[in-house]
Amino acid sequence: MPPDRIDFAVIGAGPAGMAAATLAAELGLDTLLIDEQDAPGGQIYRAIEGADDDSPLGGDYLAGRLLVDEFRESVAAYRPAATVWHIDPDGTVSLVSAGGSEAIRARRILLATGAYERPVPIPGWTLPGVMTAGAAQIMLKTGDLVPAGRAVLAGQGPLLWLVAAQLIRAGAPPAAILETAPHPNYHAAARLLPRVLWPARRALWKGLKLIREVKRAGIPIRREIAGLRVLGRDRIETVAWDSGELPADLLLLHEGVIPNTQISLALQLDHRWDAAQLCWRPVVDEWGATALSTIAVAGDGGGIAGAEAAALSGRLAALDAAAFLDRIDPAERDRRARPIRAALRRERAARPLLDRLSRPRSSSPRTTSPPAAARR
Amino acid sequence: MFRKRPEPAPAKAGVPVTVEGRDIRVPEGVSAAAAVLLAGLPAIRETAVTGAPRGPYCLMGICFDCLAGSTASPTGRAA
Amino acid sequence: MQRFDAIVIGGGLVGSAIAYGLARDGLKPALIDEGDVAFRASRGNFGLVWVQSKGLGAPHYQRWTRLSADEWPALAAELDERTGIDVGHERPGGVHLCLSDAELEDRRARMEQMRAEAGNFGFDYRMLDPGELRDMLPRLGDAVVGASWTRYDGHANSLYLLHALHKGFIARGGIYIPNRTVDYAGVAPHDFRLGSGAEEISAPKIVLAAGLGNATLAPLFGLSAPVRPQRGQILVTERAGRVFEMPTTTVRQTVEGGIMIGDSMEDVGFDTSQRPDVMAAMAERAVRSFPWLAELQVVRAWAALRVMPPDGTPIYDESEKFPGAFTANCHSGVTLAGVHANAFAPMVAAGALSPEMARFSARRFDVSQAA
Repeated sequence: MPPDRIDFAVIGAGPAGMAAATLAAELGLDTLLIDEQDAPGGQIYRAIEGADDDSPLGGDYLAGRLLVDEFRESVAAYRPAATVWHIDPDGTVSLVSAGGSEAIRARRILLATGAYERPVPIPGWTLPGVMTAGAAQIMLKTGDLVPAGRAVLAGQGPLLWLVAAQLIRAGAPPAAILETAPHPNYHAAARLLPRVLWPARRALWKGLKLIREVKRAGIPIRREIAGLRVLGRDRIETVAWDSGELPADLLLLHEGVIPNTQISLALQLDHRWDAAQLCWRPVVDEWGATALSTIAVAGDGGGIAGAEAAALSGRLAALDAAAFLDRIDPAERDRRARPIRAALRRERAARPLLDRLSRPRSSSPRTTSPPAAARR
Repeated sequence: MFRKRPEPAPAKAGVPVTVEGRDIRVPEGVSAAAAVLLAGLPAIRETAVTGAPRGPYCLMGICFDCLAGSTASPTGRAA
Repeated sequence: MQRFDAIVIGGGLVGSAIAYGLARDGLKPALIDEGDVAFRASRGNFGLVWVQSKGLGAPHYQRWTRLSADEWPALAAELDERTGIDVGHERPGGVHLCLSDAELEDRRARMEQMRAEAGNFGFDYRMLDPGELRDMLPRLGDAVVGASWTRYDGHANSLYLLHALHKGFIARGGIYIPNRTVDYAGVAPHDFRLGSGAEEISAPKIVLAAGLGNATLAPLFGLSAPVRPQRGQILVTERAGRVFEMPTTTVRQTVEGGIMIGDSMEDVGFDTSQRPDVMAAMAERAVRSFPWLAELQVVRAWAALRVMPPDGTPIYDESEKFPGAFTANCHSGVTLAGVHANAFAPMVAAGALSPEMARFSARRFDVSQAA
């Protein structure tokens, strides 16, 4: 007979959710992982269970297999293909799936809904053929599908270069890359370099390798693009900017990722504006707990820090939930958290640099301050 | 707008589907939106008020631009 | 210290309509507004400009509502001309659907009572059968047994209305002071001072239009506004092509295409959380009325606290102890925008409410007086 209330409901089967559910189940919590997709992995590890060893998506993607395998082997329950549409602060989760709507009650709920790409509302962005860089990546992940015709990548940030490299490896190099990072980004990032160079060395090295891979493939790259817009009647025909234009069949936009705060906002949790990442993030403590004792947050949904950091924060949230539910005592929770926190610090080290390098221009609706150049 | 990745690519048979009357094969497990993109349709829908053509944008369920009729999805999204 | 001709406390639909009327008629008013942390009953409106069954048992309220609905077209046109904002007012009439014979009989009795109480003023209604309704409404469900209809009802886009009232207010020289709470009030006849932080404003006239906030504010000014919160929940669907030509009391389509489904009336104090079972009940009734609604996705849902006077009838008052202080409290800020701008504001400007407003005074709740 199903219990009246489960211990731990995790929303989202990305790295944070999977790591949290796996550890929570190990700690003896009655755990359920709920996710919209048909298979675990979230967006970053989407379709990973079907991936080949020589996938063009690369080693960082394939590393997600471990998390998925551990989750599959755990005793945590799993509800795929279910969308959460409402959460009550008392711990009731309302879901809808092919079978209809139902409610599940939990003592603690972990929001691990990850992130999504910052919308890029340039003129013409609603024309068919304008998509996100992540969308192209999802086509590769789920179906080995690549753009047909001329695909132009536009924007800035690590994902832009990653997708470019992945498309090249898949035999469908983009026609051009239009990088929108304005010059002040590089100056400001350079000032940060001395402080973060050593801790961020892995991330920096990876980024440089990607850029080199793209350049070696001979993809035309234009920098400091401003005034980006899309032209076409019923679908994309041309990508234009202040000093040029290109014909295109597909435009892949990317201006960074931001936390998915839909549920945390619907719960009316406190959020603060993160001036470095130019996004809203829920206010949480060092365990991911919020002002509501039933609700905690882990992963990129609490602030962008990447997949490895997401898994680590998921584990911290599982430890905290176990202590909250008196399955382990606070001393054990803190002891087990120590190595996780050390790893988390290392993961987060490169963040300030990456954020500064790929800071969108202030003409984006989400920014609030004028660009540094204009202030001078 | 999208196509199968060129060789070398593992040969997977794919699932037959019909998109707006066109018979195509799509890799197993891809979304309906991906099938539309593979079929090369100019758009997936028209907006309710102005009738503007729209195609999929995010492919991850967050933008709601891929709403399509009579999909199996309880939330109407094709991706 | 800044001196004004009048201060209006509360920048929602009621306060902004009054403030707009004052500014339009040549006064220099200040509109002080708490901001998004306020109770904000304006969030909980349905966009109806509704007449039928307002003022049952209170003919003065029935007349006031009719007057407001009649003022609405002129107000909408004036706002469009002054601000360029079209508030989307339409007046095709409106229906209240009944899903059982018992409901239908009850509705018929109410309409008859409205007509009887209207007296010479008149109240024109018709009870419609499903056949007639099918001509007016898209693919009606079989569960609908009939409806009441009047030609007085309509709807508008309340968000555009609020925007237009604010814009028109500022265009006429009104001063909008947002994100302020009143820290202290100096109150004397025809002399009102409000302090908020380091700022102080004063005026010989003041209007309390702070919705649920009026309950605690009113006594400071020798007034009484015993209003209670009534929670309402709303569902909004994805946009659909235009199918509803006529609004109903619980289902209407906005000009952008989304379909709004209401309306719950819950007595839960100041709790603004949503309840899935209430949302399900509202959705179920809407689907019984229009089965095809089940195909649409709900994209937004929220709860809001509306303002409810003890007997449902508005409270309008002027202070006897501190002449120059007025208050306006009502449940229907959209419907009454017409009279708030075009009848109530002129009374405030003139310095006194008209004699027929006495029936709206909070003195009616004073039991010892009635004895």
